Amino acid sequence: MIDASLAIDGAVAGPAAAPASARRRFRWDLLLLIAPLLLVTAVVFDVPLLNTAYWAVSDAKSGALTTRHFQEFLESNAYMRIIWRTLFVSLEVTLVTILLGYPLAYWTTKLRPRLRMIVLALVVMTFWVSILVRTYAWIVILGNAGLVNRSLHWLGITSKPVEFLYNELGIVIGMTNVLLPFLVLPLYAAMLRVDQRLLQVAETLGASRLRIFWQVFFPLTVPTLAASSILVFILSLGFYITPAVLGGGKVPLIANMMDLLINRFARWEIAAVVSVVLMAITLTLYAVYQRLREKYQ
Amino acid sequence: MTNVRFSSVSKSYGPVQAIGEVSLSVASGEFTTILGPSGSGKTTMLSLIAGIAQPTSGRIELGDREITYVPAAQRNIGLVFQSYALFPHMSIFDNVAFPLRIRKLSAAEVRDRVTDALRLVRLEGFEQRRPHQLSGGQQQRVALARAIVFKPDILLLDEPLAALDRKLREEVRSEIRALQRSLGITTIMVTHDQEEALSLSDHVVLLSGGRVEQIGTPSEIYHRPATRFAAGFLGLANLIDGTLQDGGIVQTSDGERIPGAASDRTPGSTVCAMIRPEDIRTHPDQGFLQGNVRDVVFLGEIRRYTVELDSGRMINANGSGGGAMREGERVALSWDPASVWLLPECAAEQGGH
Ligand SMILES: Nc1ncnc2c1ncn2[C@@H]1O[C@H](COP(=O)(O)OP(=O)(O)OP(=O)(O)O)[C@@H](O)[C@H]1O
Ligand SMILES: [Mg+2]
Repeated sequence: MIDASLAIDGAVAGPAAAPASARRRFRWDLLLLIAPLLLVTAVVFDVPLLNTAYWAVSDAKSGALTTRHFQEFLESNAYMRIIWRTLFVSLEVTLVTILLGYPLAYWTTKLRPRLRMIVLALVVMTFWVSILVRTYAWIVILGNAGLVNRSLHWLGITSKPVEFLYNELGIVIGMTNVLLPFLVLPLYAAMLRVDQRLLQVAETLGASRLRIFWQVFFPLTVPTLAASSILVFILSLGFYITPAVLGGGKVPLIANMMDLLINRFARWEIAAVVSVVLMAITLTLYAVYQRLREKYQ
Repeated sequence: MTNVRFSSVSKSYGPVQAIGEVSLSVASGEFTTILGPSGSGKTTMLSLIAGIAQPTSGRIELGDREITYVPAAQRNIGLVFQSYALFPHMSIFDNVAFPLRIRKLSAAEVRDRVTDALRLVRLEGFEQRRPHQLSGGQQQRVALARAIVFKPDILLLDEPLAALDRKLREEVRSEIRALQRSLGITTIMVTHDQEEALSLSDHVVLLSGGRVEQIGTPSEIYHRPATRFAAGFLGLANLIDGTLQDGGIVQTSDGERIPGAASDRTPGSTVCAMIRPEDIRTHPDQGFLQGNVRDVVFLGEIRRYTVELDSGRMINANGSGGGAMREGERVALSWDPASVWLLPECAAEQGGH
């Protein structure tokens, strides 16, 4: 559930905040107004974060600063491997989400208004169903005796069940399903905002439909596509339920490793180190993205 | 030679008829303006010529080729939207080069022609900027450069000056005119500004409610309007209904006698006479009609008087030079009878103006 609530915050803040170029004068009175909120945020979110960072570099008993945990983290390459694995799976999920989500959003804008509402409702509806329920639903659909495998068998396409679940494929399918709305909704809005007259003018200048799409329409949606892809990527780094259920414990990702470290082995310090590393990677990616955005806008 | 021809073209958006049964032809190399109030179908006409909308019925020709359903991309027509519609993600250079690259010109040729086009609109040195870094007038000129750089057969301009302030508008206006003359390109411009239409064009197409009200030279439409709407839309007009008497005199129901030009219409018929305010002379006591000055508006070069005749009818008259009259003063109005125009159609007005 943490996944979902975090995600919704992100969806509101991410794409909406991206295009605003905030180069205004600093207003102390405004700072005063949001001070209580900042304070709550600091105490509730940032202090625990700092605390985690502190655990990563301190001795649990004496409290003295140490690099011991980081050394352990580096010596065992299991941790780094899982981090790479998570990054890779997140990248896959992001790519699949883009490949499915962009055409879906584009197609939706071409529908008649009433149909649009229905399609959007179907997309948004996944927000209303608990992640857990949705994830288990995939087992019904993709399991060895599931809907898809039975249909394939009945059609004579396969002789033995296809392994959709308990591997990376299952995880990617499940996560893509959860994350699709975060890409489709902002993209849909951005596509509707594209000035139709630009496309018409391009046509009068002699451009073919393909050229209009790739040289005018697509570039105008790229900023939103980039912002929502980054959002999807960052969200998928922290997925817990979906990999746990659909990966069947065979494909451990960072969140599942944390669960093991904390609940099974009570290795809070190592968990803290992994968190810090993960956060550093995320922030770096985000910084790179911001750089690129500024450079190309 | 005819360049654009409409044969009873209609266009409906669902139940809304944007234009109905429009027929007209525009000669090659001419500057034509489409003039009309908001919602009269001006943009629709341009869209039909450009091919970004298809007519519901009728036929459109370009030169000797029918283009009614030819895709916009194959028409070779330059279009400038009121909102400029520059590609925001491209530099000025790339914007202007866009139609040339589609036509697969060599890089050197693209560079030369973009440079030429930008020089023509006096925007050298702006190549690397983005549209949002230019002023409205500059963006307008980039849009113009982009529309002419590929040597289109026709240039279409949709209210190109509407977003500019008065001074800039006059500047860009004369630039457009000079450009059109030097390129000799058939140009159709949409406007709802009558002054713009009168000052720029060889021909004016006056639209109202999706129908052609009148087509003619600016002077024809101004001095010889076909309908009440035409008379009222271009400038201020005094319209007086009455019956025609011998010697071109129009007798109103209030008993006023309006001396007018000799007419070949049968005496006794109902007519509608138009006199422009600038054709009316004011004098303290000598004239055809007497009245009191009700209002004086100072407009710089002239004063505009609103005179209430003894019958209660209001007449607008212009006065210039010294000897201004004041409100409430007695005044007599006179004019050259030849300047009175009898509208060919006297039907009561259908649309408002
Ligand atoms: N896409 C559309 N869908 C429905 N109705 C439309 C559409 N485009 C134009 N119309 C209608 O057609 C009529 C003519 O519109 P048009 O845009 O040609 O007017 P216009 O003369 O250009 O007006 P303006 O001076 O305000 O630009 C209007 O009544 C308008 O409401
Ligand atoms: Mg218009």
